[in-house]
Amino acid sequence: MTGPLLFLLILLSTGLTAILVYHAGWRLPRDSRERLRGSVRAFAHAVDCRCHDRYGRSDQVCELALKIGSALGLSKRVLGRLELASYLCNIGMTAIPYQILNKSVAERTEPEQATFARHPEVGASMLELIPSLRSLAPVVQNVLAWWDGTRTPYLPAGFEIPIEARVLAVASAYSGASANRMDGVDLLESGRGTRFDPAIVDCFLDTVWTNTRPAANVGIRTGTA
Amino acid sequence: MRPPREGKFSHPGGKRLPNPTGIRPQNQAIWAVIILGFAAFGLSWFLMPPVSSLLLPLALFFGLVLAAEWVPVPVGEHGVQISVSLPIVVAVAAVFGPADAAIIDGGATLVAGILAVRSKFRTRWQWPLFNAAQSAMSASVAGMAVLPITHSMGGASGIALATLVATPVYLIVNSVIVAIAESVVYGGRFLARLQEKRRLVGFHYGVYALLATWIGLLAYFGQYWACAFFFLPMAAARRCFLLRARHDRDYRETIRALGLMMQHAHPYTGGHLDRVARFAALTAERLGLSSQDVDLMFDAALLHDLGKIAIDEQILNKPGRLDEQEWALVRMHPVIGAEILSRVGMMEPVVPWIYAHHERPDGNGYPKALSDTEIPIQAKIIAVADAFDAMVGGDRPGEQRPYRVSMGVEQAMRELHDCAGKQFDERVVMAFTQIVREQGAA
Repeated sequence: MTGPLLFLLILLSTGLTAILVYHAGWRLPRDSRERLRGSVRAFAHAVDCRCHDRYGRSDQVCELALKIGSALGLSKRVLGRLELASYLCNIGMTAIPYQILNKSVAERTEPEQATFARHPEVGASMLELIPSLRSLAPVVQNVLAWWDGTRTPYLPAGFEIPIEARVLAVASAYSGASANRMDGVDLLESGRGTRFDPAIVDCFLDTVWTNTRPAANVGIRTGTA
Repeated sequence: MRPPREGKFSHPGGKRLPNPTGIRPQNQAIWAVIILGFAAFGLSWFLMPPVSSLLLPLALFFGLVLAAEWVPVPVGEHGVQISVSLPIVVAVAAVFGPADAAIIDGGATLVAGILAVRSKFRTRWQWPLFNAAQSAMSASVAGMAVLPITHSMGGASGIALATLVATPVYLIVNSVIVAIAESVVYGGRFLARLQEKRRLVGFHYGVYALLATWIGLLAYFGQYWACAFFFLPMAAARRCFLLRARHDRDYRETIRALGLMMQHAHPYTGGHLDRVARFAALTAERLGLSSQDVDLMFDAALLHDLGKIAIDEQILNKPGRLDEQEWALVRMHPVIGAEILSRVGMMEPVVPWIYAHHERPDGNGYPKALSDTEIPIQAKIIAVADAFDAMVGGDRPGEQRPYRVSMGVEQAMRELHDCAGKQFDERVVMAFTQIVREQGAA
């Protein structure tokens, strides 16, 4: 009598352990990440609401950044960080006065531009205070950093800039340029090696951009190449 | 389950409730539970004396319970802890009898508690004794409740049924005692505390009942060595609960912190939002809202002005009158706030509260000019707490609003009462002023 029962119990206990381990090890972290991602996205949307020309931009930047990231062959973990960082990189804009935020770069005076350029620093100091997002603070702090370090001497340059920040710089510059009806490709090519990491710009232009460009742009790209 | 450790306990408002009962009644309540625990233990001994012939398995179970009690799992935000010892205790109660279960659970809790007092946490010495007494009481009541089942049915099916019945009985007795103790010692309504317990333990119950059933069956067939097989799922269950609690806490803290910091763009908001949230949660508790609603109330009050980040601060802080266009913008902020929060998973129930926090019972509010019955009570609470704190203003000079001179507490309370029924809900104003007076006196 006890033989089959014991067998059953052993089977059951193994099964339950497997379920619990699956729940704690895979389901729970995945669900939490998903939940956090959704909420961080909501706050990015709040930032978009504050700026006139940003409606829907954070989703667009995130999509571009992830495409560049996977084209670069980044690991799944880094892609996850990239996704969160793309939503969080403008969080500091909430502390920039509304009037300064909603002027174009050309309209801003020198001190106003200096105030605006502090938003990554503000955002990073916000994230510093949140334990679960603290590791993203260096990424957010460096999204405006130049690859060659000429314009941003107070920030790291070259490979010292976190990879997520380098990718985000390219993605948000391209998305911002297209939102302002400028040629994003021109911007990237002129900033290649100075403002942007050349490898990432090449990767973007060769894989991401050629696959997603609108049909009308085909001639432009082949013309410049 | 154990009540929160003293000193670690935090109310949704962030501060401990002032203790209106003083030090003596607390001690009386604790002593009452301790005496009742011994009484229940004595009664169970009388009904079915402990089995003394099986010392080795009992010692084994004692060791297991002690190990589980030593590493309790914190659940929720209020410092309540549970341990995974429950399945073992329930199994012992069903197989050996209530007195054995009481000895094992009470004894192990006492030893773990005393060791913890000495090494891990510095709490008052009554707590280990209290915890031991309440576990002994829960265990013996659960054991006595299933005595008729094991006597009449017998056999493996009797044991299985007994464990399935004893698990909820244990949980209910345990929750009731802990809820009573908390409401006496820390204040707050007993029913709300009980509800909170139900919410916290509900998820764990199924797993406990299953584990209890087969530990009971193994013990019944004398296969004590097979403990090794349920040690694995028990450790996994503990890990699972711990992670779940940690993920939930992290998520909640992240949302709060992010939302709060984003609103800091406005100079006076920092301390203002903290105070509004604290008073709103206390008022909600006083009005008898469920503990889940009280927790959400705190978060909702913290984030109720999130929509303002989409509006120019120069308009919001304008000292003079606003023109038509500016007013239209300001009126949008509850709508924008609700829209943003509707995308945050946890905050879904809060959205209508945020949407309506500038509505008035007389129908002159914005954005929708809802009538009295259409406005959620939570929105009315936010409205009162927000208006009061805006009138009183912060202690620091930077927190006074540029468009308004701050007034004293008494004057602000008079203002609230004058506007009750028109701008504010009467019931909410009554409860709120009570809270303010109590807090002021404390």
